[in-house]
Amino acid sequence: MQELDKDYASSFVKYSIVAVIILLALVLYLIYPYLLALLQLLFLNPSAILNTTLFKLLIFPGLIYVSIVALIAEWVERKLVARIQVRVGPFYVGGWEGLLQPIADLFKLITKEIIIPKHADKNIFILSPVLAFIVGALPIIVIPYSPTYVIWDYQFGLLLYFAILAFYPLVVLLAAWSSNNKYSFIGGLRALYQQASYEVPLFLAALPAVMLAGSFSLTAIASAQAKVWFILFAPLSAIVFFAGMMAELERIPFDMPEADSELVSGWTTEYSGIAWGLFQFGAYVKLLAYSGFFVTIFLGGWQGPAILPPLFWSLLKVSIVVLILLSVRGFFPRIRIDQLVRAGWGRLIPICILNIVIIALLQPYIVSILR
Amino acid sequence: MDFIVPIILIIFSSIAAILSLESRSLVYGAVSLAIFFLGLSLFFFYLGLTYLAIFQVAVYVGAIAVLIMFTVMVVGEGQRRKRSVPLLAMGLLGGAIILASFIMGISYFFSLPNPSMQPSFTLVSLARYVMDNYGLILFILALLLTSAAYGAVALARREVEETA
Repeated sequence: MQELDKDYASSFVKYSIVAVIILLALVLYLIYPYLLALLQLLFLNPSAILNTTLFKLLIFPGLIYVSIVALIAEWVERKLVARIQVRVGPFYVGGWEGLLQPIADLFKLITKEIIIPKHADKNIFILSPVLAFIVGALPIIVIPYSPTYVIWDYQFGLLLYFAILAFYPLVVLLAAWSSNNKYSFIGGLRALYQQASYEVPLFLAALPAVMLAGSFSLTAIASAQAKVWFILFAPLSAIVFFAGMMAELERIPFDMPEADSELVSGWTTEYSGIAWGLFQFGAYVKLLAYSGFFVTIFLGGWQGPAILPPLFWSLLKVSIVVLILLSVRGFFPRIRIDQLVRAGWGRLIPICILNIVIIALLQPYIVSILR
Repeated sequence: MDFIVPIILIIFSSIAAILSLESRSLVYGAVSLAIFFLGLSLFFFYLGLTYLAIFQVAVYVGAIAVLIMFTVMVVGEGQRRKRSVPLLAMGLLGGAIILASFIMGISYFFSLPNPSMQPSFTLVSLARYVMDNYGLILFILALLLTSAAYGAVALARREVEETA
């Protein structure tokens, strides 16, 4: 049996690699002249390209970076949770520890048929995975990775971040409703409860950072933490934000919307192929966006010892936060939806208001320390 | 070329608004309403009212459109509406009256001797004016709102204790 699996996996890898090489060759042939010009420019004057908005939007910290991180995060999650639960996890594809498993998954999802249920609302059913990916990926534009590596250094970045994420419940609800399936719909309603009730504590938990930095710009918030990180002044807010983040991301222990043992697969039940893949992809991208946001407002963004460049520190911190978010999945059982909503409205919001009052009283002293 | 962006936004918002009233499925109507709110917020954004634009999205799309959609989905769509000519005629008449009043208002504004497009105050000066003259009232209102929020939390807690 194992032999068979291995054979299948290795032949799959071979075909995948051949397909990728052919595709790459084709693309290379098509873009060769542009690439040549780009390389000449890059070697003569690298900052001319690295600092353009197009580069940031498409490569770093934009689309390609986000996609690669999403793929890596999937592998890390499966491997990490497997090790926590004394399993092996992905093993065969790609030689070492199943490293190419996410790429194999991607190929599998792309080649699979997208099945649309008979009585589903076709337009919304097809549109919602795309919207989910866009809404999940858009917040990345305001998150700074270093003083220069931010796609849009917007004056009201923090507000814009929350405004974009306000669309997500809408998309989830549309996906759930258009599937015309009771499991999807119940999952969608749960997701709505969860995301709507945790948006308030999330926003309130982010406010101390704004009060201390005196700005809604995420770059300004990160640079205000040059001496001390805000997590030391507002640890309660950081904890609340982390819990709210887990709930918004629908990760275990807050995964009621897609509780496998109760609702098949929650609001993604009827989705298959790359449509489902887009939802998953969107979820990982959203995870990255939340981690980047958490790092920026509580862990000092790119601040760190000057031995290494700022970019290194922000990437390191984001990776650590992502790793913590992923590993929590291995430890906790799922909680009930009423416990979740009660905790959100009854515990987290009072804690947040209390914390805001404390910060408001201490603000002059803290600001004098920060300067 | 300055007028192209507002005109595109107006057309976008108007189409979404008409669709939200006229689409025969309530869910599509709710989606169009959300798109209309988005268009409105983009318009605010274009006018430089950033706070208003962002809170328009956060509150109206994030909460109100979702609430409407939630209600429609839970209650069910019911029977789909049939087109009725008298109702359509009344709607068109009402729309024409509102449009005419808008046009009259705008033409009156431009007929004024010196129409100034820039508002004579900034957000900061407005806030300062309100704080200087009505500070106490604002403070009392804020206390009232905070106590209302606490009351809501306390009520929720009590309900929980009863059911538990």
